[in-house]
Amino acid sequence: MTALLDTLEGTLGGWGTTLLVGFVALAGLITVNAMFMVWFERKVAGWVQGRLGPMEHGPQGTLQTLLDVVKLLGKESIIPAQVDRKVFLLAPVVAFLPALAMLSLLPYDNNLTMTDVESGLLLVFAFGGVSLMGIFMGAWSSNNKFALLGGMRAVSQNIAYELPLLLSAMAVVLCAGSLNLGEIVAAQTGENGLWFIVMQPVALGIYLIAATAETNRAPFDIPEAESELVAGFHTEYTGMGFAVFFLAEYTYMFIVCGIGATLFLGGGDGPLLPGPVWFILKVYFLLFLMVMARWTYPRLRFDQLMNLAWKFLIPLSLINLLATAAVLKFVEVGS
Amino acid sequence: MSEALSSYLLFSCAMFAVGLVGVLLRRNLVAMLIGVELMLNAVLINLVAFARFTDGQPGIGQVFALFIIGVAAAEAAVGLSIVLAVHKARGAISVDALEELKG
Amino acid sequence: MMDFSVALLYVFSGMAVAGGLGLVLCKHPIHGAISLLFSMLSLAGIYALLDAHLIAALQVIIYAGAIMILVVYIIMLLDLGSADAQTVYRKAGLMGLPLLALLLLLLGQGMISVAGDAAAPPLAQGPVVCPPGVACETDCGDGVDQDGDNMTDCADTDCAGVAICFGTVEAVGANLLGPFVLPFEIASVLLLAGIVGAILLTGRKPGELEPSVPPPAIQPGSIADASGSSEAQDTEGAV
Repeated sequence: MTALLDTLEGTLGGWGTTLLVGFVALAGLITVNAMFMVWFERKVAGWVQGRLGPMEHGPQGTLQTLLDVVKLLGKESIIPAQVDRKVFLLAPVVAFLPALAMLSLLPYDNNLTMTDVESGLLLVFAFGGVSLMGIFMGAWSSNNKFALLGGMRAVSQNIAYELPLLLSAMAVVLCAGSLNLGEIVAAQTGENGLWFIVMQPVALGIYLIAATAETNRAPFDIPEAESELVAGFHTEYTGMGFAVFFLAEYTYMFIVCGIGATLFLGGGDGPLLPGPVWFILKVYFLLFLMVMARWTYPRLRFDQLMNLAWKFLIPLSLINLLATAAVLKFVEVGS
Repeated sequence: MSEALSSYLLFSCAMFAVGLVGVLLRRNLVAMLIGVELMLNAVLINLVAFARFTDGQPGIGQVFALFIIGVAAAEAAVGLSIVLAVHKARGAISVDALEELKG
Repeated sequence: MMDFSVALLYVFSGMAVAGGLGLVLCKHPIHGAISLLFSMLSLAGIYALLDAHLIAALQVIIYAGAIMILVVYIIMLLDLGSADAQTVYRKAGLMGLPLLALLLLLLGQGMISVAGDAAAPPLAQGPVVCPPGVACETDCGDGVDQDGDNMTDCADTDCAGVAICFGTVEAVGANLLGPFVLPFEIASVLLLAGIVGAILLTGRKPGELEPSVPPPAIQPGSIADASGSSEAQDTEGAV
């Protein structure tokens, strides 16, 4: 392994090696995560509904997703005649690329962040906003009323829920005193470090609800509500285009849960096991909560969804932020 | 030309020109509004570049840049609602639909 | 060999200007908006090159994430189609172009003569030099408040120009909430006024259910006929 890295460094230089290794690692993570999550989600769905889920291929149906992928890639990529070709082809790319940047910002362990920037948390949310543009482009260019309706819903929902998401994260930032994800983890570990889930339970609740809505997951999946809108913004996508949108959705789920684990659950902090293992375990625990929410709650109506964000979550997160600031100030003055 | 202050200034000049051409030539109100945003961004580049290249008060240029971003956000919100209102009243958002005040 | 950051500067500025030109040249407003998204992202890259990391992140959040989304949303909401070249451009605007060229020539000439081609000065590494007779934060990385104004390290405005502080949230925030706190509050009032104005302009009056002026009836296919090109318009009956 080290020999391989040395050879690479000899030919590409330090920068090239970092880029190449990082890219391969991220691509692997994205693929494995999506394949595992599809299987995991179907298994949990089966468990909730008192059935077995996929069992046919491999032990406990573990090879099911692999076969699904092969099937998906073998399908013809149809580009309908009425679409705006350039935008239609560009949309999945714009939806997917920010995910790559966001994944590289996550702190997998104390010293394992691919791009360690000073205001990493801000950048993660920034790229999240860009990915929305991809959904929008796909919805508009499809020239399909279901897709357009799905796109409009996705945008209004994402704008509404981005506010509580950011505000709840800012409460944690106040406690940690830094926007750097590594330093936020460091503030929760060590001698008298305390996971922020203890200090900020309200923020965690708001974060999880808003994150579920941001990733367009049930019970907030009205942008792609299959019983009303066929498949929403990706109605016209087939083959590769659909696969990329699909991959992007599961990657975003991983990212929001990764940020959640970093902000509230101490990142890679834990006994016995190495840091990255703890990080992944926490991420999948949060993902399990998201999957359970999907199979236990009915889908919200559009007005209910908007009311929940604007009339409940945003005021609550503002109050939480204000209370956090006040308490921190009193503690500072008191000490 | 290297990575000098003048290259940033020239670039900002080009951005300003593109934005101004957009405002001057397009009839579509939304396109004109984006043109204004481009011009604001050109100013932003200047401010940030001067903040980086001069050593008098290095923080202040970035603070001004932040204010410009805030003003641009407010401008976009109000401008787009005016566009909506115009569309509601006239059914079009071309500047040609708004020429009652033409002498 | 060209410096890596210089190459990045050329790539980003090229992309930004090309995106802006896309806005001017694309007939359909959505295409213009999408090309502008790339313009905004490359501008963020330029700010990062200038070590203004906070501005770069905010550029992506506010311009690419909020303003552009708002613009595209309005374009879709109003179902704006593309128009032919006759109606896209204002002929009268052409008369302004020579003047614009002259202005830019003068502006560019002035800027270059003022700025010269000095390279970016390296950011200060060592201790801050205080003005004579005034206490200030001299060491920006030690976690100690030297001048006793309750502001430590980067949070002290004295440190804004030091390499470890330049462009960080702390340094910019220290200026924003220190000497510039009054403009900051005024900006927040401006944003509030923006919100109220937007609601007033677009919202319905209490008790009003339908828009007061009904939008003109659109004949099925009328938008699609306007251009005849293969643009993606979501007209009724097209799907």
